[in-house]
Amino acid sequence: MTVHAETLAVPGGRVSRGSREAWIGLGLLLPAAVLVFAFTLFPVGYNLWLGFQAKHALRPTTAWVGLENYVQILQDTDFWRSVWVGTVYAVWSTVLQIGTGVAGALILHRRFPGCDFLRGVALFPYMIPTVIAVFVWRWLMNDLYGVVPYILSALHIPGMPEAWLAHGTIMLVLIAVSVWTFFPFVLVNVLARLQTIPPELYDAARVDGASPLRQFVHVTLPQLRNVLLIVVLLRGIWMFTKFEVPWLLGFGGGAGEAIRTLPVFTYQRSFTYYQAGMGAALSNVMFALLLAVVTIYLVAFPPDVEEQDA
Amino acid sequence: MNGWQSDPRLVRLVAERREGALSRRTFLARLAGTGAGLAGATLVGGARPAGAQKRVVVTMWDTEPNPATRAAVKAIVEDFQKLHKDIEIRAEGMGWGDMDRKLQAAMAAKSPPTASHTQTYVVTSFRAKGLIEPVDDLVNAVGKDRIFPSVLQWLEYDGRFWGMTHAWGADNLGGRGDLAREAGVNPQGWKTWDDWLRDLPKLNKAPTYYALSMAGIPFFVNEDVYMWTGSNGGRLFDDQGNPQLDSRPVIEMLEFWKKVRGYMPSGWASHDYLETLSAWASGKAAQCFMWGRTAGYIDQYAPADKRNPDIFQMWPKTIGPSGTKPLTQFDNEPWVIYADASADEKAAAKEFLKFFFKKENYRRYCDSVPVHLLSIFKEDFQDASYLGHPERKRWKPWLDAQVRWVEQGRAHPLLVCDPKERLVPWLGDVAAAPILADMVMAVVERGRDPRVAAKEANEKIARDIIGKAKKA
Repeated sequence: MTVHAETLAVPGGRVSRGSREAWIGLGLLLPAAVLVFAFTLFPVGYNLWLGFQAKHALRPTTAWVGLENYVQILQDTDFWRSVWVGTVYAVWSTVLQIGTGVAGALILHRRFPGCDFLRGVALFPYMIPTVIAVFVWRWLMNDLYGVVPYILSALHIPGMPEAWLAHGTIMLVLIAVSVWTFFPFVLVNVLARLQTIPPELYDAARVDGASPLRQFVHVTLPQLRNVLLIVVLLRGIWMFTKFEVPWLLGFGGGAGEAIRTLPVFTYQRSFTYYQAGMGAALSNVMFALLLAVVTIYLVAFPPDVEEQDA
Repeated sequence: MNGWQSDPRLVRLVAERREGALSRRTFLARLAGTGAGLAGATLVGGARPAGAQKRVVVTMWDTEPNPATRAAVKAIVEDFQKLHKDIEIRAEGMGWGDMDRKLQAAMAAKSPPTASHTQTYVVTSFRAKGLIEPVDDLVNAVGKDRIFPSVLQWLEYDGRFWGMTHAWGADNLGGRGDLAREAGVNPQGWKTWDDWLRDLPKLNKAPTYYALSMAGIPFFVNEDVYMWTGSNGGRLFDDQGNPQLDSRPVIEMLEFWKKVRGYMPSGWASHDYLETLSAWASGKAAQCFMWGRTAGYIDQYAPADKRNPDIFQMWPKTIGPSGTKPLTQFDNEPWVIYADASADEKAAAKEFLKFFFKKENYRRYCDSVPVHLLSIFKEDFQDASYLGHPERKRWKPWLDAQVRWVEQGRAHPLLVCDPKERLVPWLGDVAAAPILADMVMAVVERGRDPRVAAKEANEKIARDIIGKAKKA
């Protein structure tokens, strides 16, 4: 801003120090600007343009179709089904990740023998490559030779399904795999925040006679508010756009039809139907949906500025 | 013929422009590129010293990535190169799914291999676009009359051959002989779906074992859709390529699937092909649909005392109420030669393939998967040295079952119930999309009325595949 003001003040025709600095500043910005253009603005712009085309994913054939892709998307029951399935998956897996992550963080916040070891172990699911985690879960849950259905059937628990990777139950497995894999992210973030809460706050609460539950509700939770707001936002976005877990668990068809989330539906349009234009339009719609939800979320739950400053 | 008409790249470029598939700007840009390429090639060719020997590099992609076949191909290539020092063969094996994508991308980039394996429906598509060349000279040199007619027929268009099958195999219904005996069932007497349905309950001792294991992954469901529709006298497309899923044979097929579902594991819809083989080998399923290469799987994973064709038997496929003959899937991938390759490369590729199909070389290739990479030559099935291979000898009933399909001409390529469907240009797109599998799941797993599900699938193919194909 200062540079800009000085530049304006210089009489025309003479290269001032301010003007030189402005050029240097622009020069320094240029590499970043080029990168942002090449890797963000151009792909987004190209994707927007592609959404108006009927374009084969691999062959060099393209035709302008205007809004036709978008009209078809909005009329397609399979699209709305994938939005619903994706929302169910994102909401439940995020809620359960937050629950298990916060609970785990509260436990590991205490000092007890082996807690450092457990803090390390808790990160393991997040460190395992997703493809391995999902395939191990597929084996565990297989109805013919999986160990989990075997144990459950041996326990004779009433109402247990025969197959977990079937149409009616595969969503439960998908959510379980996702919670198991991604809850450490929540745990680490919450644990880090817990360790910065001043102990005096708890001392004061105890002096006032607050029970552990009241301390959690009136001290811990408010202190975690900003971290939780961000973690819920990030995990919600990431779960709604998660592709590899539902794809590897269900391969997009068979029982996988019941977990065909919007990213899987988009992938199939792009790479099994080879419709790059439709795939681009779908990803634009997904982006718009997320933008709308995130905006509502941030308006409804604005970050606590006081806590940030603290 | 004008000079430019002798260059297939220019011919195709002009054709694409005339059809309106290319904008004027794209056409001119590509024309300049082609011209520059030709000029460069001429320059390089002209600059070569007289008498200098040019080394021709031939790229060949095949769909047999297993180690035994790779070793056989490597040995054949090495022997060929000892005789042809001026030719370098670069042979690469990959799964057919990878091949499909890699080929499409290579075609888009105008840099295909010299030759490759591919699917029958891809031959239809590539031929129509002028991307591949006829190989009549290769077929005649190898010996057209020696090859099973029902192997070659799928590659003949308007009297010319556009590919040459590398080896073949036919899908079969594998059944456990021990479990059939235990249940007092004689599968060899089955003729119709009703016969089969009558005995399925006897072969079903759930949860100890199930009567049938089928894969629920879309690709495999597609296979079963067309095999059962074909066995019920139906087809998936009419002569114009319009889907016929609301036809009576397809509806009956869906109804039949619902009945069969009761004798399969509850989680069948998430099982892949290997899981069905595993269930069959380990005695968790009395039957599964399988290929000849399963013999290797049985030899590795079935209990040692059961690894024989008396336990792992071939059972007949049956016909539906509207059908007269059963139908099975044909693994009949051909070698094709790409038009974009240089004349030298194409000639060298054909030379290599002639060498590849010589008895001693071809036998090495077929022996790498003895009960699945079956010889295209009729004479081999009368040849004691071919039939005497220990694995072929041991699994002779499996070999015989496959040969019967070919002799009857009832082994058809993927999604081809009727030979005319081979010409449907969007067959490959339907095979890749999950539409048929979704139709089956809607009926079998979600209880949708077969007529409604079939109508929806028809509309999806018309809108999402045919409509889009015509636009793009």
